[in-house]
Amino acid sequence: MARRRSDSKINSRPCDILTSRSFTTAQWRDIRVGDILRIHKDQIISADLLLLCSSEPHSLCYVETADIDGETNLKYRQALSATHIELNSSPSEEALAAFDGVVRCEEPNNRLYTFRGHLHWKDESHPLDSDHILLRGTVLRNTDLAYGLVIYTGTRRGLQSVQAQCSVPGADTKILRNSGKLKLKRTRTEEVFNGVVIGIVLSVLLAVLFLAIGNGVFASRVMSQTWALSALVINGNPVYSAFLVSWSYIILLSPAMPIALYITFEVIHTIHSLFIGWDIEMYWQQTDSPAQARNTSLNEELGQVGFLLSDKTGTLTQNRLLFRQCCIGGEIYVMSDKLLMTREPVVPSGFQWNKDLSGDLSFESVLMRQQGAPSMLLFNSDTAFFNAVKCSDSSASTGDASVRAEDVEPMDLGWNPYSCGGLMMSAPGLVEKLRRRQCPLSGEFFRALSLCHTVMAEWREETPVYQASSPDEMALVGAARELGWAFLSRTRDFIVVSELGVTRQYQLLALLDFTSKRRRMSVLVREPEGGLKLYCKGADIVILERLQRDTPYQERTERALELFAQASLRTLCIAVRSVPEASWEQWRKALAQSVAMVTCDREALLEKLYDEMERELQFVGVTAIEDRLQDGVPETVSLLQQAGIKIWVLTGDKKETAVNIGYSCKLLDPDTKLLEWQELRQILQCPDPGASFFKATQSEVWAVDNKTTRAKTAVVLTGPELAEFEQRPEWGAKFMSLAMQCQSVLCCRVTPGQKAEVVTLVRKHTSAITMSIGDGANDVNMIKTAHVGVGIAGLEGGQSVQNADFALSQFRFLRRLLLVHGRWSYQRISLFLRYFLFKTCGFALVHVWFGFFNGFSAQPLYETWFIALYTVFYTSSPILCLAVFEQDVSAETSLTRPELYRSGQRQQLSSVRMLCMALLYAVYSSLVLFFIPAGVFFDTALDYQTMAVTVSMAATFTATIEIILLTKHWTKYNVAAACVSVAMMFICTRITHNARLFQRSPVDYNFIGVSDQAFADPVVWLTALLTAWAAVLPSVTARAAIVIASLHDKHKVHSVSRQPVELRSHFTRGSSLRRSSYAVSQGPGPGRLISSGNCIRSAAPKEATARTKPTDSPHKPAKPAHEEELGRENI
Amino acid sequence: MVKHEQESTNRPDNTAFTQQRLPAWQPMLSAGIVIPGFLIIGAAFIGIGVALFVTSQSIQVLEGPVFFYYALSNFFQNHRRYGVSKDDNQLFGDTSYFTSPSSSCSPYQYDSSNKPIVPCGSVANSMFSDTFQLYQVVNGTNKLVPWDGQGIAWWTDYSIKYRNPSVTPLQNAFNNTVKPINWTKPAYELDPTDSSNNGFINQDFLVWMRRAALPNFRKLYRRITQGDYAQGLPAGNYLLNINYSYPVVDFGGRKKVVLSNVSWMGGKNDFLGIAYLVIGSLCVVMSVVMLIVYAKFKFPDEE
Repeated sequence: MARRRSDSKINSRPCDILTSRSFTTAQWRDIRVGDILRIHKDQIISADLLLLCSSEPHSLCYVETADIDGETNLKYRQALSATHIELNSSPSEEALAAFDGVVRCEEPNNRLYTFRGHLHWKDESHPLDSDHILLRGTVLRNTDLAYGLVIYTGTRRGLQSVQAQCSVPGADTKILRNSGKLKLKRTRTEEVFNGVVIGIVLSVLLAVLFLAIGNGVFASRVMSQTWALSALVINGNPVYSAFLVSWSYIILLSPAMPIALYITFEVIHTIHSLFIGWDIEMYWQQTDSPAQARNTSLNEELGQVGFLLSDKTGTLTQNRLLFRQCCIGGEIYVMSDKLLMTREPVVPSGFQWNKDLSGDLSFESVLMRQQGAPSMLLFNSDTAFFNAVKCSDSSASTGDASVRAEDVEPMDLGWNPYSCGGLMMSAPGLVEKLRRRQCPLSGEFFRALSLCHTVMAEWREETPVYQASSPDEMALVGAARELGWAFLSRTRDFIVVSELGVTRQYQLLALLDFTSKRRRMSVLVREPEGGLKLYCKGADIVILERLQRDTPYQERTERALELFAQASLRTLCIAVRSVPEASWEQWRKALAQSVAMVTCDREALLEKLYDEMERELQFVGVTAIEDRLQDGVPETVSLLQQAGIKIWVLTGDKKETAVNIGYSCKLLDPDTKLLEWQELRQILQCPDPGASFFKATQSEVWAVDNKTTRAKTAVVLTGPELAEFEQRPEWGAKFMSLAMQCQSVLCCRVTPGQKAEVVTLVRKHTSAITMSIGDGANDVNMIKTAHVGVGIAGLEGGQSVQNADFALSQFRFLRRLLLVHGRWSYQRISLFLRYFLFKTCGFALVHVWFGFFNGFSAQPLYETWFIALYTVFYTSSPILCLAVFEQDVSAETSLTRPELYRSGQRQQLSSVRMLCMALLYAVYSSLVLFFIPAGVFFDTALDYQTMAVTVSMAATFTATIEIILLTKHWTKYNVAAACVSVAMMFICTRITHNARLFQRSPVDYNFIGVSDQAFADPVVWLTALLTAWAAVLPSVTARAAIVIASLHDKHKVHSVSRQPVELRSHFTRGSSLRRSSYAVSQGPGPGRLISSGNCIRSAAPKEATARTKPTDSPHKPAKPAHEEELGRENI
Repeated sequence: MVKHEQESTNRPDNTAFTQQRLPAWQPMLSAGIVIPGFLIIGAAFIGIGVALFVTSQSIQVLEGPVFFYYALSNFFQNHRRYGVSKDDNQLFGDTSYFTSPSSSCSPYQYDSSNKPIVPCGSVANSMFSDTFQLYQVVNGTNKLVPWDGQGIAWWTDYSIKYRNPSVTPLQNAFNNTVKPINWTKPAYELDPTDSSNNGFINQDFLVWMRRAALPNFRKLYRRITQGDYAQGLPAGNYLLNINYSYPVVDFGGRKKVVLSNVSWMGGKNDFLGIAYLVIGSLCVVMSVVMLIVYAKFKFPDEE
């Protein structure tokens, strides 16, 4: 129902459809193939579109694909030049209405990154590729309007429209093709239980068969000989009699086939789901959303999860990047009270007081702390340094970097007209320095940040709004703006920057773009004063090897890098170089030459040229950016790992980013060895993967203990590599056996389909329960594929929640969902199933034994009323209470002792064995329930009805004693339920034995008076008590034995703990710590677009022009020819 | 503030129930509870067992009041089709069921001449028909031991469950009906000596109609509560005169008579006492085993 509702919500989202010369607002459901849509800025694209034109120059448009592939940077799409020119010229509606092209394209498929097709229009055929396609689920950014032709819609077959004929048969969008099929999920426990129930049904039928045969034999052998019974053989035919009696026995034994259980099971599931929704600790105040169990039948599976497959963007991370620290000239500017804060989570009271009384005083206190802390960090003696490292280590381990950014007192940046806030850094000392212009190096640092990037500025309400393809750059440029170096605007050849209020214009001579191989980018600019400067930023190892020989502060910088890495910050080194005019001229010529070359070594030549320019750099500083994790992610991850859950990260993002996040969220330890594809493939190709894996992990010097070494290994895979698995299915099992021993597996650059394949791989080769968690449309498939799917209800991200079984607002709620709710659910449901089997089978099977003493005549051993009421009134409420309230340990203990979770993963409580034990126990108790009273009643004057009441009492007592033994958490409801059930048994028995009811209907109430006699008879009581006690004796003994045996375990634990603790090698950490975690999380940058000027509006924004010096306006210096060349080539 | 409240409309209730924080008692089992617990329960069971056994053994014929039972074996009074073969409405005295008995009585619903059988059904039809007289042989003469057939059935049976139709004389109610096939006398003439002991509330009839639980059973026939033998049967020679009419040989059954007095636990019954003793001893043995294991774990150095 919930799914249907949210589906209809999505289907009724508005969109603009072109209908005869004008756009009208319609709903998503009305979109047909061939429609032309108008997409506004920040609108979610509703179908796969062919981009016809957009409001931007060259019909470019930007889309955010975070929902599809988890990448946060913007991607650009460009319309065909043909459609751009034709459709953009005249009033667009008319032109669009007149558009009559025919698109021929491939069948809908799930490949997100490819598209093949042709547009036939005006007797010309234009090839189409994925650059022309806007996928459903992406969001239009930075582009006012875009017009697109619908190619693929939802699942409905598209009608061919008048304007454009599409040769598309079924028209699923690509993302839908990727989202997999919806399957009905059933829990493992339920499957096991269903198996057991089938077993029960079969054995009951078998028993019925034997009883029927027995009846036939009895009828032919005994009854025919007995004058009193011979006439009672139906039709005088023993076979017919046996046939009839088998039906009676099926009815009589039907309580053993627990049909009622399924109903109760559903009720319990529903209550557990309600508890999840009710949990205030999983309620997220900011979006006012509680956790949600959308699928109410998977709760106990939450207590058995063995594999957690997580998305990265939006799930582990917040998709927000923050400039947190920097190191300029060897000095670290840190948020001031970070170290203090980790010690005392609450802001020190004195500090608060100061703030309240006077701003000045507080500023001073911040300043003091600020100046105190970093100097202690770096410049004191060695011991102090190590202390500092330890401090930051401990703070990092508590997830300090991510959690406490909000605690930082925002700096007073009122002097800066461009400041918009949002800088999570408090370094007033730095600000002072900058404002007094005392430190030219800091100035250079921020100048570099404000110049060396590919960000574009857009003016909105007097302030520049940045649009970046990489969130890292956005954070850096934003930070520079906050501290006074505001990037104002960019034209093709100029960059306008306000430096502490002074507007300066730099001429952009060359942009040496970022590639994942170069791992750096540079800009060559001419300063207003005329000097040539090269600003470069890049990964630390790349920059450090390009520095001048005698770089100052090298040691400090390296330490800073280490510190930043420990705090899981992404670092980026900034360097500058003054370029002599002569060498620039020379380099430019060389560049022009090499660009003109058409040979294939052109790339290499360019590479070499770039390399020549980026030499002899002067080191400026290091930036440290935090890819903000969601709150509590590291704690949650480590807790879940302690609980024995394997956490894998599946992301569409880049390998470096994924690995970096892996470290920062404590998924990987600093000394975790990464096993990459080359190595992994060798291992997999080996005949004996285990041994070679062992060898590979042994290769490290620090490999002390095999087991821990293996656990300290993580596999890193990328999508294309994963694709090889498809061709070699035999690798799957090998890979899984390796992966089981590893700490984690990171899969990067994977498509939604591949994510699901990974889940399938895990499901296929292990028996563990898999859980997928994600927030975007790209996670839908894996959410559906896994046993349990969890959707993070982010700001948008409806898709994943739609398809998820559980919806959470925060990743950290997962620990409560799994360790508390999941564990409890699993415990409760296992107990419930076992108890239910026990009580119903034990109750029903007595009829089998009684059959031997009554000629297999299907004579019930209970009053009809008792049979009717036993399961419903006499035994149901205590077990229901147990299944709702039972807590073997409290929520807090569940969270502090994650190892308790492991019993669920091993299915200890719900295995076939356990259920069969319950059944055996039931059989035993049914034997006791019959034979002890039978022994007492044999050859006595006590009648059948008294015996029926005695056995009923014994059965109720047995069920009640058993539930008392099972219940470990006695709420008032449990007590009441247990008391009420037994009382109910007596009351209802008295009522059905009542004379008045008998007088009304003698046939239905012919047990009249039995309870008067039976309840007054000590033999009945003694028999019932003895029977009940004997029936539960195995259970009591087993419990007692566990208590006694646990003493032994405790003793063992004590003796084990006396053994020496494993020594960890601390000294190796430093060297392995330094991760080259460069900040730019992007592929080849959009530098070529900037330099080709395609994306820049012809007219610079008014505001910017006003600020720009008049000399700058139409001046167009010789544009480097190679840039243009390069641009064309790539587009 | 108001706005804040509006925003958090989805906020779950913070109650003990929804947050699963209901106050609860969590008993922890420990060796200190388990071992003595077993011991105490075992001891209690043994105590009960001994009491039962001793009581059962002390039951004898010579002390009064003596009860006289007849016992049948291999007779399946608990067979379902046998058990349902009666008409509760008819036995409740509803005369409309006299003319058309319930079909559950079939094949003892109508006789061969299609006249309704009253009381119908298999149970009534197979009513035990032997009669007994007990004599003490005193000096060569047989002295009848007087016994009493009153109150041998349950009070609820003869006051509520079974009723004669309110027709006087009773015989008229049975017009146009026939007696059960195996009966020699009609229901209204079961006890010629006591007119109030006839019809459906005849004590012997009621005792028979209260079905036995198992194929071997006893049924109370008479009680010796009055006269010279009220204090018990003195030692001596007795003569039991049996009017044998009830066939059991064809189904391999046996008949016997039992003379016994009763205690608080009914007739002589060793089984319950022995069962208590067995279970009680089992508990004690287990507690001892647990104690040994416990001691081994607790003081491993002695090992």
